[in-house]
Amino acid sequence: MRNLPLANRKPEVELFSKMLARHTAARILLVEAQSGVGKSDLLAQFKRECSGKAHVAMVDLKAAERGVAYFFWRAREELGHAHFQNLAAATHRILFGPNVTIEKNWILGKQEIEIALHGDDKTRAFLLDALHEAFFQDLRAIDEKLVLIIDTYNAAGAELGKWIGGEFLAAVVHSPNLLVVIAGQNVPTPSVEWMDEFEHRKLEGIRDAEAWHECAQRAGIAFERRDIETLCWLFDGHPAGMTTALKKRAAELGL
Amino acid sequence: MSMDYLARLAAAQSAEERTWIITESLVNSLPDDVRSAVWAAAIPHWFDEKILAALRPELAQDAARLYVELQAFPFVEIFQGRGHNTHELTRKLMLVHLWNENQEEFRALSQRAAEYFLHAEDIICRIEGAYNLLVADETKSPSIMSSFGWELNNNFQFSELDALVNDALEHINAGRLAGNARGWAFFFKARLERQAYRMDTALALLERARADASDDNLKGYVVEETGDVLQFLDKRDEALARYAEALGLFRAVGSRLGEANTLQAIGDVQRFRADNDAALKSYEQALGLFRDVGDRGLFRDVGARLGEANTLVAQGQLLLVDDPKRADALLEQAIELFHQIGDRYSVPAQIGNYGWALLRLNQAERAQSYFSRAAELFEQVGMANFAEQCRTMVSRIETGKILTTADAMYKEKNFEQAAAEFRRAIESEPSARAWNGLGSTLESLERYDEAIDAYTHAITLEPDSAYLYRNRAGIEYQRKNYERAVMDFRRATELASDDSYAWNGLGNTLESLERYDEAIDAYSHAIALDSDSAYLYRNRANDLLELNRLEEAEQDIARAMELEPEHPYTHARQGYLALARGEFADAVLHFEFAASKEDKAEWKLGVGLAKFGAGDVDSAKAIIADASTKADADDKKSFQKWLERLVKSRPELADAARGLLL
Repeated sequence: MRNLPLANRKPEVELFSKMLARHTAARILLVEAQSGVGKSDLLAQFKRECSGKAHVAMVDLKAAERGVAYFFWRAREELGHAHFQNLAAATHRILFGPNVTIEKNWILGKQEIEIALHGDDKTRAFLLDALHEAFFQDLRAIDEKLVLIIDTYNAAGAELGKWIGGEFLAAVVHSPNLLVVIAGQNVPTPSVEWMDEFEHRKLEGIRDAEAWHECAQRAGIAFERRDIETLCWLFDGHPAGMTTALKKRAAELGL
Repeated sequence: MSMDYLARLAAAQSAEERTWIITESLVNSLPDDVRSAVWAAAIPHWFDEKILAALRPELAQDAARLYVELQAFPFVEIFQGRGHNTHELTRKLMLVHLWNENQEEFRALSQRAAEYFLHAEDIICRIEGAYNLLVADETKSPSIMSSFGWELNNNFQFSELDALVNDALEHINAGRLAGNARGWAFFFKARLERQAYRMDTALALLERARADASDDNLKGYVVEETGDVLQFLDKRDEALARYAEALGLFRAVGSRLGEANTLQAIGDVQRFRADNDAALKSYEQALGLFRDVGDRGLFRDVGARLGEANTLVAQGQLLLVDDPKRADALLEQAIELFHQIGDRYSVPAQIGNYGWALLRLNQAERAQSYFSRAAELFEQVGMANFAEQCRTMVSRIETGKILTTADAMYKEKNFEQAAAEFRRAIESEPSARAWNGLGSTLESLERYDEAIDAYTHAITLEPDSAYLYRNRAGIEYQRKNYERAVMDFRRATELASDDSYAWNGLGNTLESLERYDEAIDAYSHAIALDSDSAYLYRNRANDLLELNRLEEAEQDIARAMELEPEHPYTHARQGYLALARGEFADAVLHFEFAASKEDKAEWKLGVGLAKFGAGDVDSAKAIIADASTKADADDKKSFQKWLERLVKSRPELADAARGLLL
């Protein structure tokens, strides 16, 4: 059921494909959507679009994972440790000083990044600058297209949210191999550094009953077209309600 | 499809209600074990097989199967790196209904979730454990919120504190958390807002925290924090009033740490107001309390030691002038404490802060050694930018010392050595001040090309400093490069429209270019800015005389007379005015007065002209012949012009005048 492609997200998928193929100058895509509109499913579709065309990293900021350390760590986990030598070296320098050689078997973990960022607000701002520089050096050095998908931006902590909307996106426009998608119930406010290079889409419910009917048929769920139309009208096409209704119908049918 | 079910959906008043009808309908249609797992899974922010087993111990053996089954639901999604979660929208609705319909079950599930997550070492799991514990047992929720909040705060784990507070707000917004626990959540949120410099939001949160606080300890912290915000907003009297109130509250509940923090804050306000004795006393009291708390080995130990260290530094800065040795000893004690609590930043930062304090006290030389030490230590902890900042200060102070020497040499008119020192300062750190000093020195040595070059360097470094353009224009004027001088003077007046010297310089230059109307305009600007300087009236009068605007000239000369009645230039202007009016006897008197005050060829030529006008040709010839030997080109040019004016008014003297031409 969950893997059913959602109907009528074609314009968003086409825009993403154009961005991926560099047929448009924009390299930042902001996807704003209220809860239950199918934002995460759309991001999964974006990820599939990248297959064979770009290296993808997905960072979901929901729940308690709100800090910058998590963001660095997650991106590194997704793209591979080997690419992040500068980030490892910068973290090591902060932790052990500039004159200590990095041991070959030293592994940079989330906790190390967290400890490296440890300090009062002034210290953190400085240390974050140092890690930011190293992180982008590493990203730019990767010799292929990169797509960084950030989900649930609205759950980012104050520091992480500010960094993503500020220094992070400002650096993205100076990283030619990088494409970024940020999705959430709210999205960063455009700033002068990147306002010429972004696209913004607001997701609404999928009000096309025909599309939902097709979805049900593909999943083998017998559903009267008239009922689908009624549900679509009642839920204003919101995927959360529609997919639950489909699931309930499937359960009734013993599927 | 069931009509009843569609009718219920149609009758629902909101999208939320409709979503709940369909979700409840689906959940109720599930087998008992799956339904039970669905409700349990909604309690934490994420779940996996082990979490399901912990939440529903009676279904532990089937947890693996149930976890797989749950993943097929449309409202279950992947939770990156940790398993799955119930979609936010559905979870929120389920929790609202469970809380309203079966609070006992809600609390029991939360208790099991808390026990599971609090066993983990991962800080994120501990926060999740605390989130669940907050509603599991409402009697414990205030202490959970305050103790965990302080722990994260004192360990500088602000992202995690933010996460804890936001989790608490989730309960608060759903009406599941109130009283002191809610007050602590608002309090910590306010601290985070203050750190982000959102003071209005912080104050609003503190008001809400105060309304919730029923214990004096929380009240004390809320009031003290309010004082901190007010202090930041420069409302120091209000801040002190809050601190006094906080002290009373902390003393009432025996919170020594709270009392110590408040005394330190009071000391900071007193120090800001230069009430040093009172500040020292407050700090001393704070130190005693911090030490007392720190010795108890409580988790607040870190906070107490940090407070103690910061107080020692504040106290030391107050003693930097009167007792430098004690100030250093206090700094060393503070450094030891910073090391103990692993605060890597504060060690070099506070050493650097001593440097800044000394700079403010004009003790640059002493400040230099602190900046130097701070630079080295910042380098050791990998904070290259801060290290560079401190090294820049060291170099700037060094340059400052060279510049002081250079200035002294300039004042002693030891120009060659002054130039060498200014050059050394430029090598150490190029600055507009050093280049300007070099320019002035070279100007004094009459090395004008080099001086102009030096001023140009200064202008490159500080293109918005009017005085630099004025200085360069001064040389251009002296060298009769009037067009260039006009450009620089004009730029100076654009940058500093209140610079009367620049306006006067512009007037002088325009006068040299015989653009008298513009010159008068420039002098008028200068007079508007400086109405008590006689030379400005005299300068304007000169141009008014050139344009034969005698009444206006008379007014300016009269004002100059009021301001400087004995000045030779004032009398010379009076002499020219009399010449212009044919009042030759009067002119003779004024020029003779000027010449008696200053041995200047122009005044003597003025006497000659006046006597000539009066018809005393022989005497005039003798005076003019004598003065002409000392006259420069400008004097001669001026004489010729006045002679021509005189002949125009008295044509009968034309023949005699030919014999006077210089």
